[in-house]
Amino acid sequence: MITHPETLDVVVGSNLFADILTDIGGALQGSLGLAASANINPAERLGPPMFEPVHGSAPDIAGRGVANPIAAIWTAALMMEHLGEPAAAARIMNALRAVTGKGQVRTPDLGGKNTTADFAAAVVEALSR
Amino acid sequence: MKTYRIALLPGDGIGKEVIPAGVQVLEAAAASARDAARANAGLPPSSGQVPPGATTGSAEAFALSFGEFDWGCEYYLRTGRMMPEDGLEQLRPFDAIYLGAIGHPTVPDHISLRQLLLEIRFGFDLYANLRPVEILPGLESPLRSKTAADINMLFIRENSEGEYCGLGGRFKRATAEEVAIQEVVFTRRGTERVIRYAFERARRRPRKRLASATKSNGPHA
Repeated sequence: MITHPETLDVVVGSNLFADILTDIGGALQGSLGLAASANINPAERLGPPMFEPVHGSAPDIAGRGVANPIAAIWTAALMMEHLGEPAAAARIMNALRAVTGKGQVRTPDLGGKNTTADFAAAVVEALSR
Repeated sequence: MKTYRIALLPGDGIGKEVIPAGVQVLEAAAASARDAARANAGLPPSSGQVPPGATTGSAEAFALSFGEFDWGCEYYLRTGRMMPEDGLEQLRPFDAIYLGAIGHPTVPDHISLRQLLLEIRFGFDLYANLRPVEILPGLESPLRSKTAADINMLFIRENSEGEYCGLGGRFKRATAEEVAIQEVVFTRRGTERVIRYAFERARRRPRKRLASATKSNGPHA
C-alpha cells in the first residue's frame, strides 16, 4: 500500500484491519479532511444508508469556519451515486477536482487561507459551469 | 420528478460547518441536473443561463428534501441521550442519512460511538463501510512520486461484527492479576456477505482486482 500503492484496487478487510488501513489511506490522500465514507447494506433495506466524512468533530478548530469540506462533499457524491444518480455524483466529483486542480481555493489544512464557505462556493460555481 | 429525502445529522463541532457546505453542493448538483434535463427537452433553464456544453450525458432531473436532526454530543449534554428513544424510527422513512461528525471532549467515546453511530449502523444493519482512497488533482500525497494515476483504491470494511461485537470485560480489575478479554466475532454470514459485495464492486472497476487484508497464518481457525 505504501511502496506500491498502484497494485491495490479494491481491498476488503475485517473491522479492525480495515480501520487501520483506511486511516493510512486518509494520510496517503494528503489530509484527513479528504476521506469520505458510506455505510450501506447492499443486500436488503432495513433503514436508510448512512454517509459520513471520516474525520471527527475537531473541537480545536470548530467554530472558526475553516474546516475542510472536501470529505463532506465527496461523501455527498457517494450518497448520490448510491441513490441511483451516478451523473449527479460524477458532476460533483468533477467540480471538486476542478477546484482542487486550480489550487486557488484551499482551506488551512492544505496550506491555504480560505474558509469552508469559500471552498463550497467555488465547488457550486464549478457545478453551474 | 424523483425526490430524495435526506436526513441531515450535522452532529458536533465542524460537522455543523461541513454539512451545510455539502448541502449547498447537493442543491447545486440538483439544480444543474434539472437545467440539463430541461435543455435536453429543448426548454430554457429554470434559473440562470446554462452555457452550451453544460448538458452532458444522461441528465435526469431530481429534487432533494431535507429533514434536520440536532442529535449528537451536545444533545447528549442537554438531554442525557445521544438521540431520542425513537430515533431509528424517525430516520427510517428517509432515503439516506448525511452525517457530519460526532464527538465532544467531555463525552466519552464509547457513549458517542455506541449510542448513535453504532446504533444506526446496527439498527439498519449497514454492514459494508466503503472508503475510497484517491488523490485529487492539485493535492500532493506524502508519497511524493505518486499521483492520481497511481492511487485509486476502494476499501470495504466489515461494519457489523468483529471488534464491534462489544463482548469482553476485565477480571480482577485494578489488581496486579488483572486480565482483559476482548472477543472478536466473525460469522460465516457476516464474512460471506461483505466479501461477496467486495467481489461485485471489484468486478465493476476497470482493473477488477480484489485484495483481502487478513492475518490468516496466526490465529487458530
